[in-house]
Amino acid sequence: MDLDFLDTNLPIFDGTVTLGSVIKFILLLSFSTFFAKILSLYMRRSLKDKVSKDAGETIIKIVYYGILTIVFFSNLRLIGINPSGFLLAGGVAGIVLGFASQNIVGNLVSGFFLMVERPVKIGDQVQISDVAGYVIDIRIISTLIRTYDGLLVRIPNQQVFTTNITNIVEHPVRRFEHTIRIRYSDDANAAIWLIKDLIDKEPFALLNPSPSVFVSDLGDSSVNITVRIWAPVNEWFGIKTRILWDIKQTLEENGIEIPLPQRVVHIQTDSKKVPDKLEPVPEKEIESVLNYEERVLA
Amino acid sequence: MKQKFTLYGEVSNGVICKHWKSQIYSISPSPNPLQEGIIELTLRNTSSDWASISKVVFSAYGMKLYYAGDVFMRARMDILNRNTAETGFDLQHLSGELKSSSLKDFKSRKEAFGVYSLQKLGFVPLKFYMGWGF
Repeated sequence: MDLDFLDTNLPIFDGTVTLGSVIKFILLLSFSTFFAKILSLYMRRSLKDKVSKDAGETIIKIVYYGILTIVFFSNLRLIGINPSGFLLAGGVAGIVLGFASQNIVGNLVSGFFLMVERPVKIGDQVQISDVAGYVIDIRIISTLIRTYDGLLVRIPNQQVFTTNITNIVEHPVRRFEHTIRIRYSDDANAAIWLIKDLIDKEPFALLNPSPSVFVSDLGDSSVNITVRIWAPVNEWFGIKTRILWDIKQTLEENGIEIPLPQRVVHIQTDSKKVPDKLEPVPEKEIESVLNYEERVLA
Repeated sequence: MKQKFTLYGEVSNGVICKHWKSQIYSISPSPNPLQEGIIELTLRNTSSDWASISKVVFSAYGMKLYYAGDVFMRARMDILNRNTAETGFDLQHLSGELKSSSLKDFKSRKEAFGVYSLQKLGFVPLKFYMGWGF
């Protein structure tokens, strides 16, 4: 079979490109695409249980496009293109692309540091800026939060990295606080004893760190008792919502009531003092402004 | 029975434990087996200092009950230094039974039905390292 036609010079650039070299270039590119696909399939299978899905997919994409880029640029000579020409063009394009994609790169770098530093983990309850909820996923560009209302919020990693993160479940225990108002006529010591007894009956109100119940403020219309209780982080909300009503009921059962806002008014009863006689205030004559021009400007 | 929980250790990395306040007996008491059990605790001070003990923390995974009218466990506590100790349970199998060490209180007890095998829980530490004092 005569294959001489493959050596035919094509009228491209300096004439060194032959039909054979173009076919070789296409074949190399096709083969490397095929090879990269096989490799990514193999990697997807082997990384499946070893790294998280996100990180695995990122690695696979970097390898896949990396192979294609290297093969493409290293074989450009076959079709008569000098890759050194790309260096200049690449430099200019790099600056343009850098400016255009600085946010994406920022998010990418932040995502990398988030994965390394791990201030939050998937499944944690966190508050990031104004968003509070469960961390669903930490991706390379963004972090997904499911709020307590069940909404999905996507926060760019740059924002996650640069703002304050409150991890609600990082420590095993946390404290909550209630302020109970009682009347001035009630016995605050009795109220404190009743509240402490109630806390003692609550299993998840921890013994250590010990709860504290104390008079914190002598308010305008009430004595304020502050109740601080430590509870396991998974149980605190249930106790917090339950114990407040229990305290209210227990105090009322024992005659201690929560007062309404009140103000004591003292009425002066000094009979000797006679109020001043009311005299009519003389009416001040007001100049009419209607004849202003006549009087002043004339 | 009143249940109460407490934290052993620091707020940032402590362990939440079930709390039980107990008397110390030199001879085995006879509590209501439906409410309370007996722990025979062997203390071993391996440090060179005196040690004053106010609390013992056990890993719940290693708790295996033994029955013979009463409810029984045998535990040990090794005091390593002034602030640290290691606790665990002694599992002395005598054809599925545990024998109390005291000769006066010699009883053969039957082992509780195992929901899980302690030997297979290799990844769960059965000993507890008390690193925040005792």
